Amino acid sequence: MTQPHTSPPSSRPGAPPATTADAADPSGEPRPGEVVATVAQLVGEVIGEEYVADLDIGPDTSFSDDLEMESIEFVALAEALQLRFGERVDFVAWLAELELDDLIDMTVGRVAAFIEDCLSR
Amino acid sequence: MSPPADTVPPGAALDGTPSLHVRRMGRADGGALPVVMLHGAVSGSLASWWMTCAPRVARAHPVVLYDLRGHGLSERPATGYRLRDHLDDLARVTAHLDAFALVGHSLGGWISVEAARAWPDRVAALVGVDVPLGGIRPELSLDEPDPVGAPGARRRRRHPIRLSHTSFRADLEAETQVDARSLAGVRCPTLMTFGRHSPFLAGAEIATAALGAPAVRVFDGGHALHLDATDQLSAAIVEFLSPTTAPTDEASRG
Repeated sequence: MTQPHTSPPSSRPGAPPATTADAADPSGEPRPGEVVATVAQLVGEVIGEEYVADLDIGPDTSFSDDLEMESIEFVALAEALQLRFGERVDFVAWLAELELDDLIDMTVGRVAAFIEDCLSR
Repeated sequence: MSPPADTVPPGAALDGTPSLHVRRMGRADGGALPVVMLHGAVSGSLASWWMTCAPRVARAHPVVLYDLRGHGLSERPATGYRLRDHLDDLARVTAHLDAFALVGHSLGGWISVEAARAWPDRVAALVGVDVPLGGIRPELSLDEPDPVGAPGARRRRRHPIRLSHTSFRADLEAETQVDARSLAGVRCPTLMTFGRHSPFLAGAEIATAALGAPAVRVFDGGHALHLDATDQLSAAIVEFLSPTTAPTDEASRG
């Protein structure tokens, strides 16, 4: 995702007109890259900032291969994301559809895309 | 008085000694029987269920998951890993529940069987998942890999101290066997599941002798049945806990 951050939201019915100065609208859709940044920030909080300091966490970062997160740390990350984004993001329903291999191959970008999808509904 | 389950945050640390990491799934307002799921030893954590069967069971039941002491994000005391210690923890986790079902894998199954015997008025149903029975002891390797991948240098730096620094192995080896007599002492409806390729498959015969054939099911998979047969095991748990398909009704349903 390399869209400029000033690009307007896609043609969401009933969406208010985009304003470039609109920085924090808690009920609106996140800006491109914002969710990835939040996921990256919470990864640092869950596994410890000192362990991510040497990593540039982006959409392609893998939780198991790159971050070497344990499964329980992935649970803790999901808890933190749930608290941050609220009930609109239903991780449990998503999980019920995923196979273990999907979780093993999970990336920051895929989690962010799921969250963005939930927030845009 | 503990607050009702649906007012507790989905993931929370349960205060006390040791502190326990508890996670809830599903809603508590539907009147369905709550299901407490207990993971297996060493490589297990509440993530074992969270990533596999729990979201599927949570479609029908409120689900409570927790990390056994010494595991996951729960506290890891130096000593105190007898079954009675685990029962104390389970009592704290279930303090807000009048009645509940227990689903236990391996060591979690041992704890569940003992809990069903100890609290016959509250444990309404029991599902054992590849529980070692009758003399076959699990080979306790204290550094089994996590299902999501073997640890690299980065993970080892974060988690240098594990169960090998505790009395976990000695306490478990000192434990009396969970066997046919233990199962016979369980009064609630019970389903015992086993993996066809598990080293503990012999337990299926022991369970059949103690409980009857309808109470035993064997699935394709090894000891980690929740990983190997996620869908089948989830469906079996939900079907077993459904009031209309209790084992006693099975014959009439064909």
